[in-house]
Amino acid sequence: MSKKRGTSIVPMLMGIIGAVMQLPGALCAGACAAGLDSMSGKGSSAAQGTGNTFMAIGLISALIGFVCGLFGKKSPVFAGIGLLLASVLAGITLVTFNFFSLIALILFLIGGIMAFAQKKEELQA
Amino acid sequence: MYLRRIKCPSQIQIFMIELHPLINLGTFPIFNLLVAIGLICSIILYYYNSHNIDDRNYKKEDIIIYLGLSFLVGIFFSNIGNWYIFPEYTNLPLFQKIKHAGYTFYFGLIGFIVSILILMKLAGYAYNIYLNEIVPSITMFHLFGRIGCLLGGCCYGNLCDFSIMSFHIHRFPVREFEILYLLILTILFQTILKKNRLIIYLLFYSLFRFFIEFKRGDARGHLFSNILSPSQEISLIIIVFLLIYLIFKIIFLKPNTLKAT
Repeated sequence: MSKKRGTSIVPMLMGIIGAVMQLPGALCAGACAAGLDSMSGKGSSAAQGTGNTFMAIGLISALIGFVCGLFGKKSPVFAGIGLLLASVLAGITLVTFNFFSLIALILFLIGGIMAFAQKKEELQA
Repeated sequence: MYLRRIKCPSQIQIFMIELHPLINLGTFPIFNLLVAIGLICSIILYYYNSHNIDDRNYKKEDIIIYLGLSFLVGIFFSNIGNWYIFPEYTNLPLFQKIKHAGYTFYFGLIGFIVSILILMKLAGYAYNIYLNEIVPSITMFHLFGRIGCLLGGCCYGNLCDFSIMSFHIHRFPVREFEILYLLILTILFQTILKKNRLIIYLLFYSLFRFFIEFKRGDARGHLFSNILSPSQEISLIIIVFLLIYLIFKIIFLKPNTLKAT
């Protein structure tokens, strides 16, 4: 029984760089979200809650992108789905006008597409 | 030099973090970028060194997954360690603790090594052979991390104020010395030192770190005592353990190998 493996290191590279760029993006998203909520008249605890939510989404995006990028060769489908999910989560934090999240979104998207589109090789078990 | 002001919204505490970057890039995450570059370069170095391992190609590639997961464990422990050695972070909310505590290399290294050993053992890898080829990647990653510290402004030396040939040095160049030391170690591991790399790295880095810590000017925190810094205490523990292991190996294992022959 043979198994298909990926041949490209692009998903892994995109996962690593995207995750590292998303880390300050997550912090930025949290701070910006809290600031925007404060400006719209909400109390400080509600604003802090919103900030923490956006920061958590950003951190989860970075974690998923990093881990799934590592599987780019071993399990291309898993890597592709994970990187696309990470790009969606990075896109959510983009509503706080976050430059780092934009870079992370683009990198995760490229990594996800490459995970599916890369050349596969047959590996005899 | 510039100060970064951190105000915790839920508690009235203001921390001033002093930074001394080589080039002031403001809030650009240069440390993060150098960590990413270091990680990628260390993976490329591992790919190059994996030719020395007698195993199937796909197994040598799949170890990258375990290295990445162990890296995450290392980052986790590196951050959490700082929650305890810096008591001012203890009462902060969780996200503030994660954000402001920073990283300590030794906690990260211990977390990484323990994690990779467990994962390789579970996956059926010859961990002693693989770990020997991973060590140059560790020193390379550490090297880039220190360059990140140099550009980011943390981990600086104490005030010294001396001049060499009209070149004025304001603070002791601990980061520069460590970068040079790690570069030399990486080159030695790639050229001359091909065996027992992990023991050599832990011993020589711990010795270096113990002495260079006397010249560090940033806040060091508290672990066991107020006499030595946490990194010095961990260095001493590592040195003692390694010496005990080497003495055990020389005294107890060598006569047995002679008997077998």
